[in-house]
Amino acid sequence: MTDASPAALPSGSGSREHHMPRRKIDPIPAGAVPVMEAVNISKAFGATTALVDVSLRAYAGRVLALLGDNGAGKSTLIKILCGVFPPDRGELRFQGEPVRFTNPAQARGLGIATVFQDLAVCELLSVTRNVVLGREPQKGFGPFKWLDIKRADEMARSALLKLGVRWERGLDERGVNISGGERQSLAIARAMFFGSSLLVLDEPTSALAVRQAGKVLDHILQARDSGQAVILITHNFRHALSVADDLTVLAQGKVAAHFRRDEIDLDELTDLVARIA
Amino acid sequence: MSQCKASLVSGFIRAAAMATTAVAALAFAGAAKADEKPLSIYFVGCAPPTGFHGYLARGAAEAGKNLGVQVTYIYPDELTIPNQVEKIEEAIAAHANGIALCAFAQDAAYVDVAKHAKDAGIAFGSAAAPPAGSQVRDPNDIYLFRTGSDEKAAGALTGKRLIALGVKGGVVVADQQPGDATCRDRADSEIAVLKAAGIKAEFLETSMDPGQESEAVVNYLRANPGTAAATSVCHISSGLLSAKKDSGKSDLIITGYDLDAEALKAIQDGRQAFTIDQQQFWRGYMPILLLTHYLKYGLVEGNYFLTGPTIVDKSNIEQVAKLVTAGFR
Amino acid sequence: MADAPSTQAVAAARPSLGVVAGETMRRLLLRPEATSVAALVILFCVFSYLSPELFPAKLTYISITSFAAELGIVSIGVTMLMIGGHFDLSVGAVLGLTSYFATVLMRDAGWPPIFAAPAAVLVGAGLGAINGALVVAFRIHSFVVTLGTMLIWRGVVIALTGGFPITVDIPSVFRDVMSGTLIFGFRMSVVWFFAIGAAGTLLLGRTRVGNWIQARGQNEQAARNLGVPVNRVTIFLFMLTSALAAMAGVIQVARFASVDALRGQDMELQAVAVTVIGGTLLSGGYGSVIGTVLGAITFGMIQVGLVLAHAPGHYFRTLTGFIVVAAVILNTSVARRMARSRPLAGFRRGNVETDAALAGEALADNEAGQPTADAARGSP
Repeated sequence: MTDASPAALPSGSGSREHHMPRRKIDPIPAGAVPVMEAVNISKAFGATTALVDVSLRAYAGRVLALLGDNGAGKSTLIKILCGVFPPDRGELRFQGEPVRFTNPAQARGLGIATVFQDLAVCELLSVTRNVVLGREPQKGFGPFKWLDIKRADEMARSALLKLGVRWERGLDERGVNISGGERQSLAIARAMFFGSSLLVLDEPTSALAVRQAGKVLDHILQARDSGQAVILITHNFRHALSVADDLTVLAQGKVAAHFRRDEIDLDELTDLVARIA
Repeated sequence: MSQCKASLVSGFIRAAAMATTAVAALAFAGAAKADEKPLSIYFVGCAPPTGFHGYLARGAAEAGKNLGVQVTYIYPDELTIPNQVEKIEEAIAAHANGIALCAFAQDAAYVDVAKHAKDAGIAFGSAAAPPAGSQVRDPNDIYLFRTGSDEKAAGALTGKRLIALGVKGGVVVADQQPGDATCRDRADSEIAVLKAAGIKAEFLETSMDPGQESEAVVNYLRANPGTAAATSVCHISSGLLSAKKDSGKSDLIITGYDLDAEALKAIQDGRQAFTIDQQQFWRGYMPILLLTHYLKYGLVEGNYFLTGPTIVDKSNIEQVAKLVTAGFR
Repeated sequence: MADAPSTQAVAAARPSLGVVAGETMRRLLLRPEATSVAALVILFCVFSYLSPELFPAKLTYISITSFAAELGIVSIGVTMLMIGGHFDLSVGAVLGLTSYFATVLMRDAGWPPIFAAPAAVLVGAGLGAINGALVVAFRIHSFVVTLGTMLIWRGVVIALTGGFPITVDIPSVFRDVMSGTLIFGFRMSVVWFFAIGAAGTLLLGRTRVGNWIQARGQNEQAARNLGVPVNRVTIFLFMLTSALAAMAGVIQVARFASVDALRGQDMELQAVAVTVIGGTLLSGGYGSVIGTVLGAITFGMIQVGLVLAHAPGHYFRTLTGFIVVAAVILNTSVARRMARSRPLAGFRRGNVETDAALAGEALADNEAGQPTADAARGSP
């Protein structure tokens, strides 16, 4: 259905790897250290148990799709990974070293970039300001540091170009005028540009039209190809299968199944999730 | 079995001990009750005890000290009839012997609560001036007495004094608290007296902020160059004094109400012509006195008693100045 | 970084001069300040018509700016805080309490104003820090927290002053520097006002803290996720707001040589009105300090204009209220219509590659000393 070489197709057409039959995925090399590993994470909120003994591993250059119905614990797991709150039991390991986050800034400092669905973009800031938010370039010295807008513009341009984003408008366009897909792409571009080690995307395609979703998926693959580890949470099996290297299914707070992409196809996955969810 | 019995016995002993203590306490309380308990008088005010109302509270407290009665000053957070009536009810519930009320509304608003107080055997009097034209106490009055200062009289007095000073141009009456009934009464009666004498008098809404008031008055003076006098009806006169200076009209006659450090200085050095002293201290003191003497000796006033207004100007400012610092005037 | 652009693509992307001018106009009108300028112009015309001899005169402008300065300084703080997504109802009480503090320092402790004034501003910042700490630590809405602190601080002033105003001797130098009519008849407080306005504008638009403030007001969670120190920004904003209120208090103490128990009362609501007239959104994230400066001048214009127009003395508040509401309606309806507008035809922007190419060209042009189309296109 698709041409084997992506270069022949215009980028952004969203047609890479979207056919469902199995394809060959490299196994994880032996002895590889995962960028982020969750080891036996458990978390409860009062009487509600969110996660029980959940373990997963995210490796550089691979996309891990995290699947599961609402309430399966995906959001909680992600929040623990990006430092919003600590787990009750279990630990996180970053590049093999145990870490404990007390706030998201610490996770950010290690290069863990999280993009929640509605929270990618500040609507009234320009694209440039959105891209550099939190890492604004400055000029000047001492107490008189000014925002280096020129450099910020350059950084935004670089980030978007690197991702091959075709921006229809300029960099001073406000976030509110950007489509949902472009916002996700902006967030991915931002994460990549500032050198994240792990990119976590929470339902990036759920609110998007098909074409936009396709573009975002392309960008996810570009992020992977640039050497990042990617965790993708979604409840859209097609999207998951089209980009993932590995898949983990959560149900009722536990890891119900784990596959490499070439070990399963859409029908099998649908059946499995229907059975265990 | 014996354990059970032992615990029963200890229980009884404990109960007996408690009962004895209770009886003893009651006996002591009873004995204490037999002694003279100071009279408890509640002053239900109109506002927090600051500024103008601070004097009422201080006067009441002084009376309490002098006469050996316990005075409690309470007030509603926001002055509305229901809120104030609620406060009176609280005083009744606290078994006050007497209640003095800073009445700000017509009698009709207080008839019910006055009856309630009467039925509870509580003396109830008004710390507000009687309606104009009534001097002798009405035996069927809901209040035991009426004593206070009359805001309308104060406004009229200002107007009359301005006429006596020979003011020919216009007069602007600046109200810093539009919506306050006291201020309105003062302003309206001053304007009425001036207009009756053929002098132009206008009402100007300003604000409590001295800067904003100053600008408003400066511009009024620009728009009405014939203005000869300005009255500050409900706040300190800083704004007017500043406007006088900024506009360069050094012959502008400034008048105001109450005595504060700034007004004192201004009267002493001539920037302000006079101020109206409502002698609020008396307005707090007298009701306590009248209640106490009624409760102790059954005395009732024959005539309603006005505690103010009076004028303070350069002629008596020195004597008054000392008392202002002490908080009596 | 950018692909080498063809001159053709660049040429195609370059808009004509007329279109650039039109687009610049459209963008100017899109700015939050545009509508407060409109309100100012309309009111100026109305009041000039109502009092043609008195209104369009230097004395009027002096009066308007004096009025606007004290209120405006407080409002600038409230504006920046509102952009950051919070409210502060305690500014009036802070003004009163810090004025009292300054007065007491000068009168009772004998401090010279050069020390007493900054001390009062520092105390203001401290009071603001309390507001900020309460909001951040307990996650209560700032409206509620500052409502409470307003009552507390005001109660303290009333209690400490006993309801009496306090006077103090102010050295004339201090009075002149803070509020004297030194600048061709205009007050020094106006200079302070404009300086603070400029500083606030720079802070919001040209520093990273400014970016953080806007981000916090628009999307707190996203900002937090990106590592913006949201809590510290919040506390900083509250400290700034209260410090500015204290500054206004110091100016008033210098001008009137006194403080009274109700100094600053009601200013908190006036500050909100001024902020909203200036185009700042109550919902936060969007606004302008320049707009607030203009809003304060607008408010001053209304007050002065009504007096000069012989408006009936009992209806000032009513009329002021009407005009404020009208100004806000004008503000929001124009803003909405403009926000729906699209860039002019012929100003279709290229994509990022063309942007890059144009930027590259601009760099080359700059080196050659030519003006560029970048001027019409700078990032906000």
